[in-house]
Amino acid sequence: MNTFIQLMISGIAIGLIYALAALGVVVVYKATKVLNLAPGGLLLIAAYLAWMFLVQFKFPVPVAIIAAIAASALIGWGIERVTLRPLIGQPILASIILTDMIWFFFRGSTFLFWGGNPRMFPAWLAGRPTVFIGKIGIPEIMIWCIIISSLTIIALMAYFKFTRSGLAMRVTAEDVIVSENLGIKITRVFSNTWIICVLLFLITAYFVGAMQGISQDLDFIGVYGIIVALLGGLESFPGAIIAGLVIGIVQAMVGGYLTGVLGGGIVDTAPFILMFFMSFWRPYGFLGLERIERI
Amino acid sequence: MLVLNNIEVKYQNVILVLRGVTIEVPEGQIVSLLGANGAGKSTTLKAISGMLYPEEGKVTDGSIEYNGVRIDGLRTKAIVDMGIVQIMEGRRTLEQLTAEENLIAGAIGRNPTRGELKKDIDKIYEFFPRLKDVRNRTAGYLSGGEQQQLVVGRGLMSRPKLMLLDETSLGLAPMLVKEIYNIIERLNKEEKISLLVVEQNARAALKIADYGYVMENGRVVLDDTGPRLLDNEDIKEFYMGLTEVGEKKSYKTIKHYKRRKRWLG
Repeated sequence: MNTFIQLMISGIAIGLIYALAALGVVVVYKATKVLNLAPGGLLLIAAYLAWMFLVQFKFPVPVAIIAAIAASALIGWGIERVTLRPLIGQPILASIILTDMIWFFFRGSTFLFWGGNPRMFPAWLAGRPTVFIGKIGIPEIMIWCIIISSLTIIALMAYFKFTRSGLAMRVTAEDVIVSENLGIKITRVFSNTWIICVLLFLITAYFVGAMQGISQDLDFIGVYGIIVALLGGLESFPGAIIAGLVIGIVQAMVGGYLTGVLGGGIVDTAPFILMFFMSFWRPYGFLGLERIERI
Repeated sequence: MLVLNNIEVKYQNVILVLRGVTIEVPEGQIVSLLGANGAGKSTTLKAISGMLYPEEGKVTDGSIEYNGVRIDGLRTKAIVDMGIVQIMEGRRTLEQLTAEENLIAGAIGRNPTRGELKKDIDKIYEFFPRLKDVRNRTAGYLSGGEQQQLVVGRGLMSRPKLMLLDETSLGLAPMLVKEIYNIIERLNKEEKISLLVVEQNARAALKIADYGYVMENGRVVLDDTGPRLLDNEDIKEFYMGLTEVGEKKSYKTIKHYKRRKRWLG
């Protein structure tokens, strides 16, 4: 039973990380209808930037975090402004392939600047102790991960529900032509979505980096982001969160109970097997957007 | 206030849709634009509001001036900021949002303060009391009439000085058409909003119009004051289906082929 609870908690923590990465995909898809294939690259660049300010430049912690946020926002803005805006009005496939190129661009450039050696976040972040509640040992970073991811998700929901730029985003997500017609600046909405997207990956990067170190392998988590987004229905925030949790928990359980039988590779394979069977049951994901049709 | 001077519009650089359209909307007046399908009415409105480019259209000749400033070639956002808003054809509500969110969406562009926004919304509810009752309902589930009111209200939220209405009566019951047109007339009288109304429903549009234009094949073929157009034999015959005496036409005595349009189309 103790193992089960332990696995459950680590599954939730990992699941929320996947959910954040998936939300980065969903936000962009909803507003711009571009399937964002760049999560891997964005996660890498965000992680290395976070590391750079913390360790390489030895900034004080709050300054380093603010600098990382600013740099990530700048990257998000730059991606939209430089690469995607010229493609507005062109076939959507061009934009999608472009996001794929962004992935490899960041994969290459992080390798170029920081090399292939794995990097570690400082001890206050990466070396958190394990806390024991009774006999259940939980790494403290996972608790922080659950708290901060949940807060981020709530903040994101509140942003969409209650702020004007959030409303502008929902309007654009629903009908670009109407949004233009109402005098909403859609180019700003587009760059906002990309900024939010990269910021989500920054938060993901802090936790993933703390749990497994920073290396070129991180972009695999980003790929999970795409999978989770697809599983959740691509247009739905709750869907992405549910799908993230499902995959996280399944992975943790498989890792805890089945690796002895089936070998370690099953942990990375399980989500894809799940995805495979899901596509029989609900090809449009857990929660696609409800289409309103009056009768 | 708004002057279209001999404009020509092409789609994708080849398809010539408007040729030499000249229209004037004087301040505080209601001008209506009539014509059959494909005459170029909607294109004219889109040319004014800057909404041609999603369809790869362009004003290739002539000029559109608003209070003496050329607005052809400006982005929609700039035009909305200047006080021109187009109510698009076909009840384009934002279906997933609530009615009130739809209204707020209409005001985002000019970024009002909270107090202003509240006041503006209350004013819309005053004009469209029905919307107040359904304010928290998802817009996609509203009835056709409510949706149309919502879309007009949303346009008003940008505090326009000139409103372009594209087939507002389309698909509504005659009662609702009357109701909407009453409100439109009130907007013109009370809020001093000038209106350019595109309609298939010639009678409804001409009744409230100070001036009217008839379009055919991308050009203006007839223009006159509202009441005189209502009296015009050709308009009666071709747009209202009345005989020369003013009675409803019967299929028994139909002799459509005998009357020729007395304008150059």
